[in-house]
Amino acid sequence: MAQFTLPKNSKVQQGQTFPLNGEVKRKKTLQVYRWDPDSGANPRVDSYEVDLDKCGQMVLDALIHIKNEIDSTLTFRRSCREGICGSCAMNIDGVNTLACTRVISDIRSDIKVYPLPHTQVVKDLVPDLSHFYAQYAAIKPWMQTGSTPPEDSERVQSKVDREKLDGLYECILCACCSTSCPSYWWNSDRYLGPAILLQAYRWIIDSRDENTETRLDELQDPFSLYRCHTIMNCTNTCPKGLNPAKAIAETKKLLAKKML
Amino acid sequence: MIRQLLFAQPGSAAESIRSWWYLRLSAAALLPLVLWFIYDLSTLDSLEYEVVRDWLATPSTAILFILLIPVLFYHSQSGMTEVIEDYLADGKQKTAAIILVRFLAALCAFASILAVMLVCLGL
Repeated sequence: MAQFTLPKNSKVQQGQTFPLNGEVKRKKTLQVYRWDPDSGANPRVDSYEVDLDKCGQMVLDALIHIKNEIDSTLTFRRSCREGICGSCAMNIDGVNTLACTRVISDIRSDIKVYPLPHTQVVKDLVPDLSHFYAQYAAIKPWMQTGSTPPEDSERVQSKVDREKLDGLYECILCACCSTSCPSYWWNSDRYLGPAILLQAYRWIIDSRDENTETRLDELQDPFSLYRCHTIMNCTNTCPKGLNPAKAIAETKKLLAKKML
Repeated sequence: MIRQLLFAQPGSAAESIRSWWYLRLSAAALLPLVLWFIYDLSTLDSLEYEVVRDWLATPSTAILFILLIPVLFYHSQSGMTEVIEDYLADGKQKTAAIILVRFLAALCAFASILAVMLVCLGL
């Protein structure tokens, strides 16, 4: 039976407040999810008041400001700071997105910052994505060929075939889409989720790959692909503006054609 | 391949495609049938028992209604099976729930078709 109640110690409690001292012209409050596995305590939400004149314009800038100036125990992942690496994926203002591309001024109220939903939390805003990466490895995300490559050149591709990869190759595997998908929440053990299915389609549709049939066969079971019910949360939340739901639909069409 | 689609084993690769394909086919078939049903019913003077019974007894209505019933119950049980597969973990509970839903759908469809035929034949 599905589990509808939270495990022990899951209730999120009110945490500490870190107010700003003195007069501040532009102030913003960030309510940040905190959980330390070593403490054994319940998770809590700490409130930090940030002077917007002393930090950059993105939510990640505010988080870095908090870590540097207010509370060094705050833990989160970040790397490129320009929406390319996907490290700072988190739930901001109720939407999975990248903290480095989410503008603070676009959020009117206090900014609620939580880890990606329905993931095991390592600490604070850091989710455990081991299973997600293992699923990615399972689809063999590299070009598979049986033929001998041309002697003097790389494997060429027409412009039309190359265009088929647009909207697919841009995926940075931040896991925003997969962790926004209710089907993935309930069945992530066997359902691959939108991000991995988009990547699978990226190799299925690549004209240079010679293992298309096997790739399609490997998706043919009741769970890997068919738990997608076109809820569209993935497409709505993708911080890169991609459409995983369409990639999944195209894969289903290819499988249906293959069967008929 | 068609044979695989029609006689796929439960849980097999072919069955997953079959379920997905049939759910869409039944939805497409339901669209005109339900629209006809709503429209035809709305043209009746009243919804009194005798009026509806006479309407159902006409051959064209009875034939379309007998077409509607199995598609409707197939689509319902197909949707319910998806929900069960989503929310129940594998095991006896899941298998029992799917069998129960399919049995109830078949029973209701059979009873409904029988009822329409009895009305149509004036029995």
